[in-house]
Amino acid sequence: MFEEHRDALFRFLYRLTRNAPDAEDLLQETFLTCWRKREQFEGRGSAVGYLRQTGYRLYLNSRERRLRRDGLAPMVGEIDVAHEPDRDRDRKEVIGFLGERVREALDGLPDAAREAFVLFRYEGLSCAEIAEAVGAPVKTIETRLGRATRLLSQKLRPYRHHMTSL
Amino acid sequence: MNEPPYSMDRIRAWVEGSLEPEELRRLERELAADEELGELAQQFRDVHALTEALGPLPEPSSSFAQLERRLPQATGSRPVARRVAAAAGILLVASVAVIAWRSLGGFAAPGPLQLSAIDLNARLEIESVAVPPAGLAGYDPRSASGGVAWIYDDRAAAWLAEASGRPLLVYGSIRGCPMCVVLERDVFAQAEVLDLVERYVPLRIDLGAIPQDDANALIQRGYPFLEVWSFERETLHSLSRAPVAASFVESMQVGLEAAGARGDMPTWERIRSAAQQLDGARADEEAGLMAEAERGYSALASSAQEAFASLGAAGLRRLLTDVRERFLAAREAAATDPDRALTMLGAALERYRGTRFAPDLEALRRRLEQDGCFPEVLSAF
Repeated sequence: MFEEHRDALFRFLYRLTRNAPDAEDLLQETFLTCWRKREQFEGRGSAVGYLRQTGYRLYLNSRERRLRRDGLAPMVGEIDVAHEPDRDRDRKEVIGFLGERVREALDGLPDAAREAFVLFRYEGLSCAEIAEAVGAPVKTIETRLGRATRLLSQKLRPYRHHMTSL
Repeated sequence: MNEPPYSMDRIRAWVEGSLEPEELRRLERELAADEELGELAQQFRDVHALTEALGPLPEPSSSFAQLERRLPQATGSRPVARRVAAAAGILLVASVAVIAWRSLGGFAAPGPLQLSAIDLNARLEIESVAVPPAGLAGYDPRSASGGVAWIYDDRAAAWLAEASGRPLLVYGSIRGCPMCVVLERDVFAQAEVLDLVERYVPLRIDLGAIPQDDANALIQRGYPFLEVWSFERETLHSLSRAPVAASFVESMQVGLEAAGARGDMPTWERIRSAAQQLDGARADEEAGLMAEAERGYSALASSAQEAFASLGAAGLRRLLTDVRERFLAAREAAATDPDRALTMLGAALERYRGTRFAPDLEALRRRLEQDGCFPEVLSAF
């Protein structure tokens, strides 16, 4: 079970914590907790859903400690140097620049909306799977996703023109 | 599993092109009929494309062997009676050993462990230390093609302006504007102008990319928009009426006087050097190379550039905060699971080997291993 689900669960926890060492700690804790409480698993959902639920609860418990430790202001931002009148802008620089903007935009979302969005967008979980993992109704997850989409659309709109240069 | 077709799942499938033709037609009819849903779908499509650029994920390093070491020993199916008998036997032997040890000369309780570097009393509040832009280590206000290397990020430019004691040279234009093409060719490519630009932080505003009201407010003050600002975005001087090389140079000098910009500002070379040092230290920290990171931050903390010295000090405080959190977590874990606490201290020691924290972590781990419980400690300071 560990080998089968380790990578996917790590990605799930990394998306939540945005920090590899924390995700590793939570990964181990999740499996150990599931093992210790294995008799409580009623078999109603999937094993991976149970792992996610457990991992999410452990993540919430440790979130406050993480906020105290990682309390830096987000990066001010990369310098976007205009190579004028150069039409051959380095594609990698644009992607790196966009990546930083995306990270900033995600960091600026409310926690619940950000968590739902990253799981939906990057891990490909369905609304029902996210709802199962975080213990919220599916309609609530839909609402959070809608909110995240609107906020990200607003924050990232100025960078739309960068996409045309890729 | 028969799940109802939730809107967001369907919208994602639409964006990713994985809907069956009939389902696609049905959804597109719904999007056309429902304005709000249609708008959400368009927004998600844009966001989906924009959020592509996030970079690769790290790989997990946890192994099953590591997990096994932390699993409880009693996972087998030995009969209860045998386990009880085994436990009683161990208890008897341990008791005899303790009595023998005491009779041989005492069992002096070890004193508290004096920490040398882990300061448990430091006030480590959440810091709001803005860090410089990632590209600063290679930044030169003169572009490779001989013009001005404009900065488009106003927060990055403001940070640089404050850190380097320079005013902002703010140029607002609309992409493709012919007036601006002439300005850039006839004014910003002139040697005298470029020499003076080095005493500014050049900030460019794409007037087409900011809210219309904000753009209009700037354009009303002159177009092309050319002003000198402080790092706090206070207007110190306007150059908009002098977009001709000779008078532009004079106007830029007036701008420097208005900003009170003295001649002893740090050179870009010194700023780049400090930024490279900071980038190196942060990269080491992110890569878990804490000894290298500590050396980098320590060197920075004594920098002549105050902005970078603060960042060096902040980096060192961040390392201390991390070590302290690991210490506290291990101490908490030791109350119920000393083996887990040992693992945690071992991991912390591995991470901070070669730093000033390593001797403390090694001493803690040794004492925990010997005593079976977390030692009482005296803080470093």
